[in-house]
Formats: sequence, C-alpha cells, structure tokens
Amino acid sequence: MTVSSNNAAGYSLGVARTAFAPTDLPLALAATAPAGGVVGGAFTGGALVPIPITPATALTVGAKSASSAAGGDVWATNLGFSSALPLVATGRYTATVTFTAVAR
Amino acid sequence: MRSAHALALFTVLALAPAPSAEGAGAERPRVALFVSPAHLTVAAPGSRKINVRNDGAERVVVDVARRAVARQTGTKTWFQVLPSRLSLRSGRSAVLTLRVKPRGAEPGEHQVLVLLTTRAPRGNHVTLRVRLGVRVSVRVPGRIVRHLALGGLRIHRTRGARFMFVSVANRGNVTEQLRGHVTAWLLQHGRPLARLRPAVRRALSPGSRALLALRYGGRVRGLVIAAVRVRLGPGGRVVERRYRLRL
Repeated sequence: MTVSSNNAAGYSLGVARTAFAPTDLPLALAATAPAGGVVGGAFTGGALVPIPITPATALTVGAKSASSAAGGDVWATNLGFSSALPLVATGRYTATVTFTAVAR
Repeated sequence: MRSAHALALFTVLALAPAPSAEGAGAERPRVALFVSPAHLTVAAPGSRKINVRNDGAERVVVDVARRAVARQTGTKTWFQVLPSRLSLRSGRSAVLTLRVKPRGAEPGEHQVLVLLTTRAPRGNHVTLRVRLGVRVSVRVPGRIVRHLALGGLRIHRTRGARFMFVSVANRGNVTEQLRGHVTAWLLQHGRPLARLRPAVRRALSPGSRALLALRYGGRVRGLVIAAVRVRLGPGGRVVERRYRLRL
C-alpha cells in the first residue's frame, strides 16, 4: 500500500476483511513500515497477523506522525495464512480485504 | 491562506495484477483514491466541500458513509454527505458536499469520520478495497447541560448472590458515557466491604433511562451502604448516591 499525505499530523493505516465464502480461512497480513512510520505492535518481526473480520475493529497496520515522503509512503504488505488451512471442500473461496487510511 | 490537507491511498498490484487499462500508464496503480481536505472543521449550521479524485487505472465506484468517533451519538439527522455514491472514471474528480444542521445535534464538539470506500474490483480469490477517512470536527452551538440522576435501588436476593438495580436517568442535553465511568462499593461500619462491577449499557442519550446492575456474591449479610458513583464528561464531575440496604 502506498499512502500519500501532506498532513503534518500524519495518518494511520488499518486493515479488515470479510469472511471467506463459503467457509472462512485464516487470512493474515505481514507488514513493514516505511521510513518514519511505525508498524502496529502485532507486526513486529515480520509476523503474519490474522486480519479481523468486519464488523470487528480494524487491525492497525501502522501509523506515521508526519506527512509522507515525496512519492508516498510504501507499506510493504504480504497476505498469507496464519495457520494451516482447515480441511474444507475444494472450490473457489473469496474474501475482500479493506485497507483504511485516516488522517490524524 | 491555509493549505488543505490531502490524503491518497494506492493499492499495490501484487495481489491483483492490473489489466491494461484504457489510457493508463504502465506504472499507474489499479486503484488509487485521492481526497482533499483530509481533515476539516465545520461549525453548525454550515457546509464544506470535499474533493475526490480517481488516480487509478480503472473506473471506481466509491461508497460514502459517516461514523461518529469517540462520542456515542448518532449523526443521522444532522450530518449529511452527498452524494452517497460516486462513480469515477480514471483521472476524474467529483465533489462531495457536507452539511451540518444544528437541529437534532447535541451541543459541543463532535468528531465524525467520513469514509470513502472503493467497491472491490474483480480479483482472483482475495479482492482489495481502499478506504480513506476524512476527519471532520464539528462544533454545535449551545450550552452543554450535564445532569445525571441516580434513582432508587432495588435488591433481588438469590441463594448465592445479591443483585442490586439502580435506575439512572439522563436529564441533561448531551449523551453520557456510562461504561467505564461507573464505580460502586459496598461499605459496612464505614469500611469498604467489596467493590462491585456494574453491568450497564455503554451510553445514555438525553432524556433516556437505564438500569445499572450490581452483583454481590460475598457472604456478608446485614445492614450495609452501597455507594454508586458516575464520572461525567471530560471534566470529571462526579455524581454520587449512597443507599442503605440489608443484604
């Protein structure tokens, strides 16, 4: 994700998702912060952190207390699974991940 | 002149490689939303404009919603953002109009988030949505009246526990937060006997009532005093009432 902001107070970045249909799967995210940004505590050390399912509160990916770099702040993120996949029927499983940036 | 704050969010292409889009450069992200200002203040009655631009390679549909922050107050009647949905081709802009009416709003400061969410483009197994939050500070004129009344206490005795119910009425003109703001103690002979954990709804809107439930599972019986305290608002004024009762 790339966030561009000229707000000197900075911004925060969060993530949430819908459940997989037809059966949920343990989707998770790993993230690293750009220069000057602080990654959310759960992501320290490159851990894969389960993404909460809405309407649960979004997981804080990180925040920055200053405006972004000229080309935007790149939050390197990877999607994966936080645990072994459960035994589910073969087929197509879909979910939607929402990244939210809010000005501080 | 004060410069407007802008906020833009781009999705990377790692999960959903972008198809070649009409007129879009190879480096252009598939979904990219821009909004300005990202933080604004409005005094009621008043209105503001919010600019939204699609900097991505694809047409996007953006849903617009609002959410109160911190104060548990509804915004439905007095805070309006129009239109509630936008359809933007790549590179196109639109203007949202935000209107705040004082009627129906509680006096004081409100923090509202205007959330702009792109509809998920077709992806493979995981689709990505981008959401930008515009922070809006609203000032509603009027004198703030905080008046919370603690009513009578009713006790219900069971074999293992005593349940106490205290009625609470909000006679002020602003919503009062209850959860985390209520403390209750049992005292006997002037000394604390037990701290009670109140079960109560999160907030109480003006003119409404609620019941505060207190449970005591201890063995002490006889005459005691139950002290109930509610801390009101950011100023920390305290409403307290003491009840003499027999457990």
